[in-house]
Amino acid sequence: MLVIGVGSLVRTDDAAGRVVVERVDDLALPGVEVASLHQLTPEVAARLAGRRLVVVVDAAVDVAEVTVTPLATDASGRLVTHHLGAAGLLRLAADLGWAPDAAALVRVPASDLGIGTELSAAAAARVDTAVAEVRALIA
Amino acid sequence: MSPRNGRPNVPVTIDGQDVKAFEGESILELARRVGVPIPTLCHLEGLSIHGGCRLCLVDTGDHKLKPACATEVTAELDVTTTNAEIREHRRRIVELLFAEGNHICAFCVSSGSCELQDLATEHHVDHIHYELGYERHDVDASHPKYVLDRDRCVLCTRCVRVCDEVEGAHVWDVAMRGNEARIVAGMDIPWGESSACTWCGKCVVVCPTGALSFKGRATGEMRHDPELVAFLARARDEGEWIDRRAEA
Amino acid sequence: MHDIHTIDPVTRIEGHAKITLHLGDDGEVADARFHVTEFRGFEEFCKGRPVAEMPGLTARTCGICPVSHLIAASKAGDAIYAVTPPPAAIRQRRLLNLGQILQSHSLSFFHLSAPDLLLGMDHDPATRNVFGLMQAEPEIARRGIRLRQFGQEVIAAVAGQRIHGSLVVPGGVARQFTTEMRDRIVADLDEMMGAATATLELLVSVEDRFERELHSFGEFDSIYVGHCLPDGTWEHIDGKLRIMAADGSMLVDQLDPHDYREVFGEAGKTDSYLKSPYYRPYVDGDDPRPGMYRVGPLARINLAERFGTPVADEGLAAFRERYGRIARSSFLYHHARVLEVIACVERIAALMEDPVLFEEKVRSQAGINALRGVGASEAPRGTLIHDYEVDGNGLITAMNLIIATGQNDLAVNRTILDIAREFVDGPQLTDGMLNRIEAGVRAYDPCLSCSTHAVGQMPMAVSLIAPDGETLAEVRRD
Repeated sequence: MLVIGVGSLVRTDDAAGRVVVERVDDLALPGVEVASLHQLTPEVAARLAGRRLVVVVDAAVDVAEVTVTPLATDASGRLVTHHLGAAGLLRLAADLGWAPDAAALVRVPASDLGIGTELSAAAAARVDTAVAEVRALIA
Repeated sequence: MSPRNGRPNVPVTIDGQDVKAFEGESILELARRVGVPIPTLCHLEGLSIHGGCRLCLVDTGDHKLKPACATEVTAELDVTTTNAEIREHRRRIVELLFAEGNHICAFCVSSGSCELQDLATEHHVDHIHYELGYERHDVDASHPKYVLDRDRCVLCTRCVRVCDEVEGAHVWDVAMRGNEARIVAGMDIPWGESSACTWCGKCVVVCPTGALSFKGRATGEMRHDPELVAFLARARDEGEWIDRRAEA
Repeated sequence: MHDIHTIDPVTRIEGHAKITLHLGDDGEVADARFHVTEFRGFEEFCKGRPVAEMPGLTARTCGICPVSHLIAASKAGDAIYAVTPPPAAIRQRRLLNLGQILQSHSLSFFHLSAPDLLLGMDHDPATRNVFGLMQAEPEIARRGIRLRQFGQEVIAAVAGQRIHGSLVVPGGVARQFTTEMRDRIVADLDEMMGAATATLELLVSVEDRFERELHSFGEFDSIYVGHCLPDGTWEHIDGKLRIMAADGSMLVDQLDPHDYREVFGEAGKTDSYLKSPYYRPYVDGDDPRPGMYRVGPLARINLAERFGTPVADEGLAAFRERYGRIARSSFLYHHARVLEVIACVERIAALMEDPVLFEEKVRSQAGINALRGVGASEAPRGTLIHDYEVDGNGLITAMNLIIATGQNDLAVNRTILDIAREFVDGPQLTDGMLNRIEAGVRAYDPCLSCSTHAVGQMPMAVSLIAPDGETLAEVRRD
């Protein structure tokens, strides 16, 4: 299993996904690999191959609470050039035969995306929930 | 911060919190003691107070903001360390520092160990509202061990003070005024020609930016250690290096 | 009637450029110009800065090959310090450069050029890109992604995760190479070797389809320049320069990069910020074109007798059997690139077995011992030269950067002209012709600025200009 946290470390709440995966990493769960990435690039698709489960944790401005959504692991996501979201990454992996058995997206609500290296209080308060959701997914 | 005797007994309110200050304590000292963060740049524990950078401005209910480092507490003082106006002041001060120097983190020797960089992040400086000066300032690489890059100098005068007050060599001064102001060695001679310089490196370790660095260091390789001065000052004030056995 | 076609900017090359095609009175293409319209100014603003800062500063020239600038700048710094880096540092730098060439070539071949080569030049532009390739040929796309990823991992193993790290410094490198790093690299070696050789087989199998491109994409005589060991073994970072004539005869061998000015001149131009270096002895007067030379993968394999590693040498022998000892067509840059990918994987594998790589001493210390230093290496795109002059305190007083893409500039112009003559018929600008001009430029993998455009979505335009200067046609793609 692979848990990917994605976002900028200097854009306040955009780092929420990465804070979550660092916490997951600290738990040292057996069979769980963690990746903390600035952005999703096509190369990341190669890391999805053969996984039972891939969880992407990302900050989102369009959710009010921590939200878990399954990601399609077939070629139904949309690909846009120069930007790769979680769905696009899965689509790419599917095209290349690297799709995992299952995948999910955990979105952590972000309110402040300005310059900053600390999460806002609102986002920080949701880290525990997001970690719990990741644990529930990989359990 | 020299050790204080007795108990704090001056009643002060800081950000709504009722606390007791020592007689003669500065607002900054008090704030740090009770855990209220106030950003600083020129201030350095162990050195005299300069009050030049104005980042520690706080609201004391007076008609103007006051520098916390250079303002002593008084009884019943009500201090606000941060509000929208103060935050805006601080952000603009940081922007002005960027506008008048050539602060380019990308290849700076001190990137990752720079108080200006940290302040910019802390104050959400994602762009500069002022016109950038792009003034070229000379780099003085004449010293065998150290480099002075005036492009990265914020004129905090920590180097001037530490050299004078701790090392006792007084190599550094600020010459000229306004936009022309610059750190000079001796009577504006190349640093390497200064006979006063003892090569101690204290100015380099206290520098908050990449203005002073060890020669030959590449991008991101400089690590400053400003806390060293507080350690030295405390040790000196308390006579830690005096062999007490001899006295006894 | 004299028309000019301009392609502005060309897509899927790094940076911005535009192309003008000048038509002659007979309606045929008389001249072609490749314009680089960005001004960077590094050589100016580095003045007054400490030499120790140059690796970090000049790495910012480019987001694609910061590593190449790190290396050339550090070597120039070595020369000014007059030090020899410790043996472990030399090996780490070699490893780093191999990783850089590998990842850059993989990007160029798979992400940028394979859509043209494998889907065809006339394939629908909407899917003639790396994503179209992924759907049509997932196995090939997988190899490309993995090879590039591997190259990046090699770079990260030496230089850390930061793209613009300062891990290569004058005097050596900043930290010791560990067996942990080795283990990560070694784990992938077999897969990479398989991917690289399968790619070569595939390329060889489709190359016959491009007979017309082979003969029109810059098939001409030129000088070749690059690093090469004295015994003729392919080299990418150490050693000296070899300059070979079009017929394979040696013009200069083992030229110390320090003395490059004796042999190379640089022509400035009014219509492009790219300087055009040329081979001085062939130029008499203002026109630098007789001194045109090529650098990069094709030049390197023409210069070398051998790669010095078995699988790459096998590929090189087959290549020479097919195209001769000196391959003249720039279309064969692609083939050369794939051969170099194989050589890089083999050499990375060999370095992993070298105990010296892991030694603790990685940095030599010294002061300013020389007032001029030249550092050179092979960037993926060709020879890169950093030439610094400093004052006694090590502050830069003059700087000259000779970039691979600049050195290929005259050859790129010539290539565009050849393609335009072959594929432009009258004042019409057809898609097929535009695609071929772009593809011809892309064969050189030119790197024109500092931005990564792995999937070329940059707008592009071509204009066609008459003898009287009037723009007759302009095609723009967004």
